Amino acid sequence: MKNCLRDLRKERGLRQAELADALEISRQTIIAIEANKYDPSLPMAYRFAAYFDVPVEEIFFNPWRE
Amino acid sequence: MSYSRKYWALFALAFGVAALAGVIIGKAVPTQTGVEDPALVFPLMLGVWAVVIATTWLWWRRTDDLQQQGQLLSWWWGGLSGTVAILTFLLMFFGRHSELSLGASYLFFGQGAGFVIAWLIWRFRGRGEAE
Repeated sequence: MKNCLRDLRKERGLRQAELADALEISRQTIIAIEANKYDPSLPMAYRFAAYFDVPVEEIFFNPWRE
Repeated sequence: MSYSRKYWALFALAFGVAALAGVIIGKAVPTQTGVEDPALVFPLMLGVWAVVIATTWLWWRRTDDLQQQGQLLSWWWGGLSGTVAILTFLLMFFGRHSELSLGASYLFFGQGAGFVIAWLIWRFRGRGEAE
């Protein structure tokens, strides 16, 4: 699933390891999501959305709506 | 303490307890025969195993989606393939009724039984109202 996690993270001036620690997930997970190699679960997607204070669909693009 | 430090600390704890359990079981069991009182020692060893599982659970709770998926996929495809490969090797080279093949077969059946129990628990926990 395409997403703009990398852009959002860079906008906030965060490194992958810093974001991973803040969300209590692994850096490997951040890397995989940013590379579109892994789709996070719904709870994890909401955790990202809450952290960046944006709706989920602003981070993860719904492929069935385009 | 950062998330990654906690994660690796719990991983080291789980690994250390599992290694310690291996030493305890290794010391408790004679090399050539079974223990003197298996009815007593077997439940005790299951208790040791329960401690290992409980410690591993502490680590598992710290893993995220991707890490859990990695573990589950690797155990299913890699673990099962490795088991079947070794079992086939033992059957081909030592025969169906050799002690090696029988021992490996018991382990394989144990895996199968454990899988069925875990799957039933998973299925039961995931139930909901059908409409």
